[in-house]
Amino acid sequence: MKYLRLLLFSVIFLIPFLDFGQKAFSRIEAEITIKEIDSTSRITTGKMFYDKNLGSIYYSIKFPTREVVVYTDSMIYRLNNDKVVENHKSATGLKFNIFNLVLNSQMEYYGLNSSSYELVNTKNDQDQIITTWKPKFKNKKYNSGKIVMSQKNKLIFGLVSFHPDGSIISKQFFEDYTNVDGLMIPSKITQIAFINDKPEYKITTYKNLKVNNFDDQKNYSSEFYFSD
Amino acid sequence: MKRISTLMFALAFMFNASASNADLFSYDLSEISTELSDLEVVENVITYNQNSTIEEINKKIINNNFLSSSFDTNYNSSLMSRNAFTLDDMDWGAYAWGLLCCPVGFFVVVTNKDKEKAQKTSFFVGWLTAVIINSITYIVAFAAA
Repeated sequence: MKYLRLLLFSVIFLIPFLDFGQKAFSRIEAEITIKEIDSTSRITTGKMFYDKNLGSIYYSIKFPTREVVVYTDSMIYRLNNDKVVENHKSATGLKFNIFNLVLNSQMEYYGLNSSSYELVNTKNDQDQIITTWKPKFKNKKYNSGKIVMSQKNKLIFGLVSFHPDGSIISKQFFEDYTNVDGLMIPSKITQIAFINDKPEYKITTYKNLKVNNFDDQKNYSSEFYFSD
Repeated sequence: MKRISTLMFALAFMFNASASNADLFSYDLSEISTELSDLEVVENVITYNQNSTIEEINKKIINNNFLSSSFDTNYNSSLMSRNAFTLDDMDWGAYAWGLLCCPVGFFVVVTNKDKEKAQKTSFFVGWLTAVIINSITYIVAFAAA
């Protein structure tokens, strides 16, 4: 009886104080630099803010022009002086955005395990686990090929997308992982796209990553402003 | 003998497979090292001039002696870039406004802030189609007369 009382006391009073290690993350922000090299060289710098509950990514771009770009699940908007000056449909949405995957704990398989792709092969290769993913359904309009993914230490390292004819469309590498409040976030993403067999490079780096910043409410809303 | 050849074939296949995976998940940026170092110079100029205007930063980039070649600052951010307009992007309603009723369509589509860029482009494609059809009709009518 004495033990039963002790057990009941523990259940009622101590469980709320226990941390099960499952912290809910909904916001992420970072300083972003995008370097692109193809026939010309370009650089874009600024800050990004994403709140998964609001479903919008706000980019406060500082260079090459001062403007705000907003990504939603269906649209992309360009704002100048708080006015929409350009908008168009988003081809990819936010589902495979790196920060959406991080906040939804889907980075391990890059969200492929909950997509229209299915796992068809897994193998170990030295320090890497290589998985092959194929589209579940054939779509006449969007003909897509297989995706081969590499993981190192349970973190995604490489992602290679193939055309249905077997040629490589693009390679992506996720490196320099940073532990931010327990979330492992790659701070460097190198993308190489093979367009007409000529590689086009895009190197994105993130600095000063912060999660769950609820102090700067304005950065995550339509009242967005150019933060310094 | 057969076993040895099978083993050799298996080893060759394994070696080939691991080599192809190593190639697949590797990259070499050496061929763009000059461009990358130039972009790093530009990044430093931007970082050290956070409070300057875009025009001032552009001037500092253009006049920078550490760049291996001139840097063109006249471009848009890639975050807003998209692929070229294709037939899949065509909004046939906006196209019809341009083709059939251009003056009214201009106010319904082009000046409407809620319409996206693809719809506005579709309107102008429709309008251009109307201009071409009308021109051909006039030329044929003029030649017949």
